[in-house]
Amino acid sequence: MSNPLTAGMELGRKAPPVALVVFGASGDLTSRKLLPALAALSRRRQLTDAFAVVGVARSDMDDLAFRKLAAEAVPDADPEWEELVKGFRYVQGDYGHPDTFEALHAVLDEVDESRGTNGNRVFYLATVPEQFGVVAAALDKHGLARLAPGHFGRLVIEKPFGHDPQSAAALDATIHSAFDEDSIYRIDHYLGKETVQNVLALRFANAIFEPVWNRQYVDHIQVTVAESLGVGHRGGFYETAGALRDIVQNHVMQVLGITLMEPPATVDAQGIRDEKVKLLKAIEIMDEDQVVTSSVRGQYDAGWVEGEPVIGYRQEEGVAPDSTTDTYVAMRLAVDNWRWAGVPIFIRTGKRLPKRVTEVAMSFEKVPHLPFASALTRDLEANSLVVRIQPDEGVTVGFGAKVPGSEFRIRTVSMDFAYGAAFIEESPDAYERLLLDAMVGDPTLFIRSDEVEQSWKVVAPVLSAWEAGDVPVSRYEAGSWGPRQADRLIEAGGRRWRRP
Amino acid sequence: MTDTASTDGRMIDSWSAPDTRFADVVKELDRMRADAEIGSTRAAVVNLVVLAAADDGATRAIDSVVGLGQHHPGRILVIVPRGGGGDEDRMAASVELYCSRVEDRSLWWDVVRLEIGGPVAAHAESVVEPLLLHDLPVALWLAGGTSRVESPGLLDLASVIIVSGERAASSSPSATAADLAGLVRLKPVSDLAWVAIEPARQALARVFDAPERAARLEAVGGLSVEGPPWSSRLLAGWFCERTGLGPDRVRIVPGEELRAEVDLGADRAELDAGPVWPAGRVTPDRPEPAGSGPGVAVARLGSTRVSVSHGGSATRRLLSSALSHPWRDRRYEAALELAGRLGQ
Ligand SMILES: NC(=O)c1ccc[n+]([C@@H]2O[C@H](COP(=O)([O-])OP(=O)(O)OC[C@H]3O[C@@H](n4cnc5c(N)ncnc54)[C@H](OP(=O)(O)O)[C@@H]3O)[C@@H](O)[C@H]2O)c1
Repeated sequence: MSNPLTAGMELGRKAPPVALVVFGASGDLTSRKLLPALAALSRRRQLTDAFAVVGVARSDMDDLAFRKLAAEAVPDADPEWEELVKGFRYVQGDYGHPDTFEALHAVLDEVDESRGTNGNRVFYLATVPEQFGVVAAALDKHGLARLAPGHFGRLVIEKPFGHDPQSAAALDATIHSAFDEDSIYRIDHYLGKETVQNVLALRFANAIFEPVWNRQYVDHIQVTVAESLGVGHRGGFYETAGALRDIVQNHVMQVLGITLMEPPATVDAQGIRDEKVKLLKAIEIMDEDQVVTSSVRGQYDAGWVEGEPVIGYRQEEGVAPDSTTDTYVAMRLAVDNWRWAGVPIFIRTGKRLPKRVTEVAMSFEKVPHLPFASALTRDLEANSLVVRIQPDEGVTVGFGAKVPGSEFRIRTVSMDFAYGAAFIEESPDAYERLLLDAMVGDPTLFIRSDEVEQSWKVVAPVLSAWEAGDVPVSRYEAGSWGPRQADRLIEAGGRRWRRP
Repeated sequence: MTDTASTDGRMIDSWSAPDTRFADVVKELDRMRADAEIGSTRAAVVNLVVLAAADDGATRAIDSVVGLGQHHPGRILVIVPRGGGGDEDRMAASVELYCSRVEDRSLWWDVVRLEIGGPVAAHAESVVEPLLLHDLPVALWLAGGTSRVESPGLLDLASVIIVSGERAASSSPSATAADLAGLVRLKPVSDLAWVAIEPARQALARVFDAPERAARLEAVGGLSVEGPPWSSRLLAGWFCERTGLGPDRVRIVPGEELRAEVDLGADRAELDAGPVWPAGRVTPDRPEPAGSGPGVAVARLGSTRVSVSHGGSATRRLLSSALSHPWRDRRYEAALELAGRLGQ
């Protein structure tokens, strides 16, 4: 029976009783993101006592060693976290070995008993992509995937969702044989960011933006996902991925989906994901010739970034000296629907760019006629609306305003709204939000299988034309905004890249 | 628009470190924005990047820009290249946040000062670019001189380059003209000396307003200009370009105050503009050096007398005016070309 006393109360979101099983418990993502996010959830009292983490990896650790790792991952944690960590368990073993899952099964039974996790599980695949299918199949085989009614078993998986459309489909088939789509939570941490969700608020909770959010008023759109870092120690991994797979196939497509989709009938998992898929389906699939004219593939050379000299990509550890891997991508996309037909969408992403920033910018049409002497409006730019996703989340509007004084001179003013400064509440980290959603069972901010499939359809022809050598690799100096070819791509239409 | 010292902004927050990293500067800027109750919105119009000289000119340059924010809110970045010394790779930095209340509105701006040495000085753009406010124009003021910009990448970032031609002219006017012509080929240039002589040009021009007087400009016999080396040449260059007077008919005489005489055969037009550019130096706002306060340029021709009053030649007022007109000025570019050839 539900508690009649809590009816009508806003109780805040709390995880139900659940055991969180982390595959890759000894890995980087676990220490850097997952454990700190769990500590934050515990600080906000969004985890109950009926909660446990069970780590699974090859490293030789016992429960105590894993608890130490969990405590050390959150240096300034409060006593609640230390208390919670005392219930964490560790299963040592290879995912390819059945013993690992037998042991896991036993530990989960114990945890249900000792912590009251009630047979509910969230399996988090924070491990190398080659193991995704292996783990999913083993969970199924050992009776851990499909649970009795009244209990849930969910699978959380991290990008990359495949290496190309074929491997993505194969991975989907494997995990679908173990879990229903409803129980699969594909993470794109961009969707966990407050601003991405704020795009929904901006567009659909305000009357002033939506009417101009279309081809009549928007001249073009620019999406920038810039990183100042290079590949660091992940050169080996990056050689097999590249910027197109690592950023465009997932993050950029998701950002485009949220920003350009039609208003959903309801802001819930189905409403939003249906609209995102429709939008992704409207993105024009390029043919080979279009790939040549509308895509730029770049790789960084040595240069200077944030006051430091940095080496070129080919000199990085684990990178072939003649590598052609893309560390930079620029593309011109078209969305063929009523709302966006004819509005060019320029996207660019790269490593070793001058600063770390992710932004979506709408550049509006110029007014049809300026009723002022041209000298008075000389430095007036078209209106713009920039949604900044990271680092400091916010929105900036650029508009013309009269300069105080006797002359009627108009100047572009940028009005910057910073979420951080507007609300006292600290925004939760993306992983905090997404972990809680997975435990609560809200898939709204996770990617559905048809979205992955559709994103691959957009990216695949570009990949294959590049691999066939149709588009040469353009070089750019680290610390610049990318190769000259990218400037030409946008300047061909009389536009230019913004300075984010 | 007037710049008066009494309405200068108030410093709300500050931070400095003698040896720091770029990431810490960014962190401090973010922290100040979050702490300072700026409110959630902040208006900005420009990025002003000041490339100062390593000597005490840097301090003067900073003094002259901090108050600018209330007319041109945004970010002011002062780069001071540091030469030599064993600790040359060290970066010293300071961040200051200012607020000015104008009626019921608050304006905010910050001043970031980075002292950089060693090889990074040649790549200053790699620390400047990530600190710029996005999409806004970048005015680059070469306060340390025009001839040697160690990091050419900074010039690429600029939407307009502000120079102090008078300061550079202390070497040689023809060298200054060559340097400035090089910059003009790259970007719009706003020369503070040109801004400073604007009232003088206006006064002189307006005594020729009547049609019969304008006609006399076709028969000018010569021009004599007395004044600081670069301002006097710019004035003469402009006059020659407009009237077609040959450079060989121009006499330049060094002096502190700007004066001119136009030989019209039977009589002459005279200009007295006072001390337009005190000693060609970057002047701090307070205390105002003699001659930089409000002044008046007066021109006479026969019984006609035209006076143009102005707010003075304090560096900040000139900068403020330059920031309000950040585009190419064809008249200046033409005057510049002639100025280097005058009074050799
Ligand atoms: N790191 C990030 O910031 C980040 C960001 C976004 C997405 N991701 C994604 O998150 C996932 C994990 O990345 P990561 O950087 O954390 O990787 P990682 O540091 O290499 O960690 C891999 C983990 O998987 C375990 N593992 C690998 N093969 C195993 C096997 N056969 N049997 C048992 N355990 C095995 C490793 O255990 P042992 O070391 O104990 O053998 C380790 O705990 C990847 O899909 C990655 O793309 C990571």
